[in-house]
Order: sequence, then structure tokens, then C-alpha cells
Amino acid sequence: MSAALKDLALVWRAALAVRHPYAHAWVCFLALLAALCVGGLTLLRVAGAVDALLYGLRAGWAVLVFAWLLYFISGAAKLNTPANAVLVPRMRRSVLRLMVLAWLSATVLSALLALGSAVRPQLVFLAVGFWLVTLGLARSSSPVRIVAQVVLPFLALILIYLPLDWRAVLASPAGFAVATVLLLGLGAWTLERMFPQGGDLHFQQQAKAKLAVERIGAEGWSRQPLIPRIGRRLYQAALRRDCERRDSGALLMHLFGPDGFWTQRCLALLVMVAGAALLMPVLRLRASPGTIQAVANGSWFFASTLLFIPFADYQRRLARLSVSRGEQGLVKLAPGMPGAAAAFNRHLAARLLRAGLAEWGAFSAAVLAVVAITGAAAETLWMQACVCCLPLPLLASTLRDHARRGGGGGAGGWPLFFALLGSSAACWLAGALATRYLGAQIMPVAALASVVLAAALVAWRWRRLAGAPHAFPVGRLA
Amino acid sequence: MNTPIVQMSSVSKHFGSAPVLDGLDWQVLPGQVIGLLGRNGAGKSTLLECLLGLRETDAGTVRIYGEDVRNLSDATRARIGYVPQQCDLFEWMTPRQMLDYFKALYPRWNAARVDALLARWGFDPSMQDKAIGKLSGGEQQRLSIIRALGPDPDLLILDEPVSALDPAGRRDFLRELIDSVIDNGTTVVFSTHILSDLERVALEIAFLKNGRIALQGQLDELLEGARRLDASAGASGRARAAPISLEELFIEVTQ
Repeated sequence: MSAALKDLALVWRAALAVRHPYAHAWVCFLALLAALCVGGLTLLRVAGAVDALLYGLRAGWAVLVFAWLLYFISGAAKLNTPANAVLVPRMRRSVLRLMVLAWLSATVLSALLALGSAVRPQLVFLAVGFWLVTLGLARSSSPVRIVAQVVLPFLALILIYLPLDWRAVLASPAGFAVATVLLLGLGAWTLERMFPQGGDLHFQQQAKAKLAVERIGAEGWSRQPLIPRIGRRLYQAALRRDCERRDSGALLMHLFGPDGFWTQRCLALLVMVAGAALLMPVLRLRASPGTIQAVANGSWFFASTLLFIPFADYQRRLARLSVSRGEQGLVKLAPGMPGAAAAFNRHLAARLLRAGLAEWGAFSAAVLAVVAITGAAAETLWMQACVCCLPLPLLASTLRDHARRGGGGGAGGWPLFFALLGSSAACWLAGALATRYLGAQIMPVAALASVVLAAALVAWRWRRLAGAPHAFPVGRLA
Repeated sequence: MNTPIVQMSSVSKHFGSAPVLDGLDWQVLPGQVIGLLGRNGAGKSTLLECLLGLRETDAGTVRIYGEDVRNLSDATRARIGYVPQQCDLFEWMTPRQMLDYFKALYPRWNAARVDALLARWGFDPSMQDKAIGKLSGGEQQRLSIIRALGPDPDLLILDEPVSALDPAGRRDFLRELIDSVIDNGTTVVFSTHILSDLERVALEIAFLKNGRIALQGQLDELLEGARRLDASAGASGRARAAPISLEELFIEVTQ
């Protein structure tokens, strides 16, 4: 193997290992699972072995690209440190080369896999390319990442909603060439944003740290952006109130820090609903009826993605526990907290459950409000309400043996994602069976099944908490 | 009166296959001020954590004020003050918010003492409004000590409380420890590597070696009893007992 290839292999492994030691295994497992599931389903429905193989390969490849790049981008960003810029000058160059190689192979292979399908390979090349570049931008430290994060979910649907005449233009040689040049330009610009020169990054980080220090001082409050400032004030007011009331349950929740506190989330949701409420009248005045209808029809998709946030918050909260073990020891020794393990565990579990339910309720209400504001039909609203119930079984994930499990889990959000996938599949299956044998609607039955499953899981885990060792400090028996 | 406050019997603790505490027996009597010594990795922090119930033991029993440490009553926990080795103190809170937080969790809180300590140890109003994460290591350690002294504990457990303090900070801490903690009859167990501090404060020292208390006794008596025989002294050929320092005793016992 040449020195350049060895460099690339080393950087690839290092970037993945930064993220998770078993990233390779996870990604391969996921790809295999996707290929088998999609291939198997295709075989069942179409009964063509070649088609099944092709669909399976496409699904496996899509997961492989998505998951690998997701892991690689964040891991590679962590390698691009000021220290590495000085000590390992080839590091950034190798990371950039590898990123370009990954993008190119992902787009070209995706286009090749589209051969023989209804979608033209040129369109797949452009869609995958723009999606990957936007994903990279969304994970960068550039301020433009916020725009990329908003655009990203819609880009996934571009091949479905792109008008036919646009598709024809993009698939023509001239259109494809122009779009490819644009893609390359955007890719190069994004790479600079994703992996800035080590020195620049260092000075940017220093400037941010300086600003953060200044913001903490009393005189620096005015320099903080309005929303975080209000959120922080609300958090401080809540902390003051909880201390005055000597409410041990509420005080326990302060272990998770201000970022995960309910005040921050409520504020963000209020801003989002208010934004939608302000935007829609303007859109109704200026946009064509087709656009308004498209927004009304597509709002459910954007709104549904918001439902993942509370569950990502659960994961973040559990991860937060793993870095506050010192505080947990002090809280455990405080007489204001229940002393016996079972009593304390249930005290903590009740609070986490309450917070989880409240967050789910707030997010569901916000999602329904946004969908309603965009002018969706009553039937869509009803379906959306049913979709909101599907993640409910994940509430049980907060009730666990913290002493043995530790916080977060190195596998990121994957276990939670699989749990959601599994519970949703089970509930859909219940809905499908009810439709077939009872003639009921699939979604309401699936929603009801989610509620029942959530209640059963919570009750089961609640009972198990009585026999678990004291939750704090977490992970001491892991 | 001589009922032990802390009683550890046959306590064992392993990390993997490595034993850290190995059938350890230990007692702490009321009013004792014990300095816990041991080499790096000897298990001092583990011992203190097991003593407080922050870590499960593999075998043996630990009792504080006669209660099983796994099930301490609120009243007993209110009598314990603890300064951990690492000062993890809600780094997003200000010192004042953090102290109010713990004040809300204790039935007894000596606010006057806390305010006096804050003032004496350099926590001016502007510093009290600063996030704890932005304080220096020494300032965080001082804050951790103030937090532990807030509930006027009867039993104070200090795990290397002065490791991040400068000489002036250590002097202030030791003065506080002697004047308003030890003189009030508070029982103190503290581990440290700074032997000169130990000599100024501890009346008694305990050496942890191979997972057990290898030696414990009054500091003066131990030093007196451990005089080194200096055979080379004097032309008469008679061996002479030479005094040894705590540092020499530490090396002798823990080697």
C-alpha cells in the first residue's frame, strides 16, 4: 500500500474511532439489515429476484453512505484541531482528500445503482451530491449551517417533488454540466467551512470563548442574543423558585443543566409557532395557490421531524448524567433527597417521566399548531395527532438502571432509533391487522397501540426500579 | 461516648481482578482528626467513597453513626460533610446559586458561616456572580470546602482538599479547619499528600497499604516509636536512636 493510501486509511479509522469504537460494525450491520429488509420485502411484493437484489443493494448502499458519512464527518471535524494543524500538517490535507473521495464514490455509485430504475442516473447523481454537501455544511461550524439544517429534510424529497420540466432540464447534457459545476463549487466552499485551517479555527474558538466569558459577567448580558438570554433568565428564575420551595424533585432536574431545561424548549417552540403564524399570512398574500397547497401538504413531514427532538433530548439528558457524577455524589448525600435506593430511583424516574411526557405534549401541540397554521385539512391534522403518539413507547427508555448502565451510551442515538423503529413497526402491524380483520383505520389503531405499549413498558420498568441499586453516581457498576 | 462514628468491617473492593481494599477493618471515633496516607493508587479515594456509600463494596459492612451506609437516614446524612477529590460543582451555576441549591437540600445551614468564609476566602460579589466553570481550580476547591462546611457537619470527610490550593489558600484552609472545625469537636478524616499540612493538623494518621490500614496511631507516638537506629553513630560503637520525619515514615511504611 502506498504512503498516501496508508495516510487515508489511518485518517479514516481515526475519524471513525473518535466517534465510536465500534462504528464500523454498527454501520455494516445497519447496511446489511436495510439490504435484507428492503430486498426481502421487494421479493415478497414483486417476486423478482433481480429486482429484489437491486433494491436491497440500493437500500444497503444508501444506509452505508448516510451512516458512514454521518460518523465520518463529525469524527473528521474533531481531528482538525489547532494542535494537529501544527503537529500533523498532513492531517487536514488527508481529511479533505478522503472527504472528496467519499463524496465522489457515494454520488457515482448511487447514480450507477439507479441504472435500470425509473429515475435518471444524472438526477440521482445531483440529488445525492447536493444532499451530501448540504449534510456536510449542516455539520460544519459555519453560521450558514442553520440554513443547511432547515433545507436538509426537504432535499431528501427533491426527487419526488421536483417538477417534470425541471427534471428534463437537469438531465440534459447542458443542464447536467452546469449543475455539476455548481455542485463542485458548492462542495469546495463547503469543505473550507467544514475543515477550516487549524490556525483560523483556533483563533475563532478563542474569540468565541472570550465572548462567552464576557457574556457571563453582569455587564455582558446585553451582548447575548435575545432568545438564549431570555431562556437563561427563565432558567435562573426557575432555579431560584425551586430552591425557595425546597422541591427536591425539581432540584434533581437541575443536574441536567440549563440547556436541557424545559424553559429553553418551551421558548424555542413558542418562537417556532409564532414564526409559522407570522409567515403563513405573508405566504398567502404573495405565493401562488399551488405553493400554498404544497406547503399545507408537506408541512406534516417537516413537523414530524420535530417529534424526534424530545427523544434526542432524552438521549442527551442521559449522556449529561455521565459527566455529572461528582455532583451526583453530593446530591446523593444531601438529606433533602430520599435515602433508600428504591425511593430515590423512583423519585428520579417519576421526574424524568414527567419531564418526558411534558416535552412530548409540548412538541406534539407545537407540531399540530404548525400543521394547522399551514392550512392542512382536518384529516391531515387527525393523522398527525396519531403520528405524534408513535414515539411514546420511548418514554420508558428513561426508566433504567442508571448505576449499571451509565449515561448516554457510546452508540449515540442508534439504540433509541432502533427502539423507535421496532415499536413503530409493532404498532403499524397492530394497525394493519385491525384494518384487515376489524375494518378499523390503520393510524388510530397504531396510535392506540403505541399508548398501550408505552404504558406497559413504563409499568414494567417502574417495577424493576425497586430492585435496582441507587441510581447515583451513574455508571459506577457498569 | 466511644462508640465509633465510622465502622468498616472486612471491607473488600476490587476493580476487575485488582483488589483495592482487601478485608479492611477501620474505626473512626468521635472527635478524632485522622489523616489518611497512602501511595498513589493505594485506594484512599475508593476507601472514602466506600465509607460514604458512594461506591458499593464487594464484601464487608460499613456503618456510620450505627446505620448501614447503604440506607442512611436523613438525620445522619445531614451530619456529614464531604469534599471530593474533583470539584464537580454545577459549573453553569454561580457560587451563590450553587450554595443556595445545597442550602435547600439541608435542614440545617449556617448561612452566617458560609458568608463569612466567602468573604474571607476572596469571593467578592463579582466573583459570586461568575459561573463556577469560569473559576480557577483553587477557587473551585475553596468553594467545595465552603459547601461542605455549610451544614455544620459533625463528620467531615475531605479527599485531598488542598491539592489545588496555593500556599496562602492552604494556610487559610488549615486555619479554618483548626479554629472552627476541630476545636468544635468535629470528627475529620482527610487524605492528602502534603505531609507538612498533615503535621500541622492531624493528631492521628493512618497508612493505607495493600488494601488495609497498615499502621494507625497518634502522630507524635508514631514518630517517637519509629526512631531509626543509627549504628554508625559514635566512636563507642553504641547504636543511637535518631528521630525520623513523617516523610521518612511514610516511605518506610508504604514501600
